[in-house]
Amino acid sequence: MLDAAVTALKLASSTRIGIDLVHVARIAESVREFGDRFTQRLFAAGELRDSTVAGRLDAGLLAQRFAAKEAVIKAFDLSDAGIGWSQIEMTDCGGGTARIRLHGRAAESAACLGPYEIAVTSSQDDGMACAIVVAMPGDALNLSTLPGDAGREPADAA
Amino acid sequence: MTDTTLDARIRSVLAKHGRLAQDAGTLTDSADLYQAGLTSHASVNVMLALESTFDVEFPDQMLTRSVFSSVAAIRGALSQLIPA
Repeated sequence: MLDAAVTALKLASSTRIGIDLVHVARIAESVREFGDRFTQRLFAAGELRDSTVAGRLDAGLLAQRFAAKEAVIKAFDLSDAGIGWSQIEMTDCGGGTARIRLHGRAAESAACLGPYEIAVTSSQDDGMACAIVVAMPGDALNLSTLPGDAGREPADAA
Repeated sequence: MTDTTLDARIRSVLAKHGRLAQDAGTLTDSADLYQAGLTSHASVNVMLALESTFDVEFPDQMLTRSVFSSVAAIRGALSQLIPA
């Protein structure tokens, strides 16, 4: 029983958490003002596909993804790691669930902290989007095998 | 480009895109922009606006919190990107 308590304590002290809250209207404003320079710089091609509704980018869905990226940055203390935002990708898994995939330097920087299992959840309401990331020590890390500037696929890929 | 011109243009970008709680023109060079109200999203807008203002591109290695932490830090980063 003591072993289980010690294990639980170690697990709790190693768990990483991040949260972020974003104004949806401000994301829409960034899309209007900066266009592709904003969307393609911040979001992986898959995220842009997942955020497209009736042929148009949905600011709320983009805001959830931006919040998820910032939550990961906070959880893994990556704010000074010098990584591109598209290297942190939130991918839809269906049924309202999602997962985080890390690419390139983001994956390398997070891996330096040890293997972690990353869970993410996001939501939006009344003009605000939020995301929470919880990372627990584990054997699997959501690493991508894509080389180089990973996470950035051709914008018009199907 | 003189330092004065560079500073003025940086502060102009901050005023338009930084959503700061205080006048960008009155901030000291070393004032913490995050404490002045700069959010992570606003820093993205500031970065994109600086890129178009100065016709440069911040490489991923420069996309750090510290690069956008003060007027002086931004000036230092831009000095590495703007051709002499």
